Amino acid sequence: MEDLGLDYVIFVFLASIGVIQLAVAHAGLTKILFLKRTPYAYALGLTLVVVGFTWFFREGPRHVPDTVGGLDGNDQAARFALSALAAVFFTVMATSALNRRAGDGPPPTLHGLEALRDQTYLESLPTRLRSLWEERPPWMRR
Amino acid sequence: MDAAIVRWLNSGVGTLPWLDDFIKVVVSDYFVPVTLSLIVLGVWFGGKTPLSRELHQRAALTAMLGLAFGNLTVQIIGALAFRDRPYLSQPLELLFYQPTDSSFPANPAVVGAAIAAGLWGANRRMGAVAFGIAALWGVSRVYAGVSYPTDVLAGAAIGVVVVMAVTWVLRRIEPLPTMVIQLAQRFYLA
Repeated sequence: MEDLGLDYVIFVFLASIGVIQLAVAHAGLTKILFLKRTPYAYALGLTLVVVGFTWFFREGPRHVPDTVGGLDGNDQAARFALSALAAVFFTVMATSALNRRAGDGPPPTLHGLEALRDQTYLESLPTRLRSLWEERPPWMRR
Repeated sequence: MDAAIVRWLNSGVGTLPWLDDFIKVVVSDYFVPVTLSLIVLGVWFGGKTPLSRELHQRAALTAMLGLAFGNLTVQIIGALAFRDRPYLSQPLELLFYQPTDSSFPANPAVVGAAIAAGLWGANRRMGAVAFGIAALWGVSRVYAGVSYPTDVLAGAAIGVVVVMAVTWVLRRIEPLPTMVIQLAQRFYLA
């Protein structure tokens, strides 16, 4: 039942975006928030999670054995992983566009997710890629 | 005793329609696994400081590995010691489709307990919430007539033991888990 698989992917994608917004609002990582003000970010995150769950469980029959179109454990795990990764990708790309700074700023001085308090993902990434290139092993240098 | 508990719990089906509707959602193959997995996703991103974030991310890794190995353990045990589902021998009102795999151990209980045990290591409150959700799923499986209580209890025990084993192994194979997190940090994903 291909519809169930697609419904599941959409459900997890929406709910994952919501959970990521809730988590990064809690962590104070403002540059990957869609809405700057924390209460609004929490509201958006919660709304996406609730909408995702409500839509999925009202959309159609969900008690379907995996032998006749339901999702078995491995299928579910793979679809969840891909949907969650897609949600992360969408979030960092969309927030990079929404929260970008006019002009060049200083390179990120903080490590990991902490850098996303002050800079968007796409503002931080070039510096990282540059440093990875400079740190490449000797056998990769000409 | 096992069968008596299933019959007793299942006898409630049909008396409170709102409860049956609630259980139909909870008992599904999707509600609790997705909820718990989303909690793990939130835990990965949600630490307020770099130190707490790393602790949470280690817990998330442990939970996911516990889930994977817990599932593997269920497949092995189910193949060695097949147990029929309760609806095959008891007069029950089912709120779920009829699974054909072994009733013992209850895979949902393993999944739920593994994730909860993994999260418990980093955050007691989050772990307690996850254990509560996992317990609700386990009870719903008995109420719906598709698992025995001992299947659920055994599944929960397996989930916890597997996570303890995963935790032990992860400590032994350091710095590998640290390298995984550091790699994600390099790309601002941890």
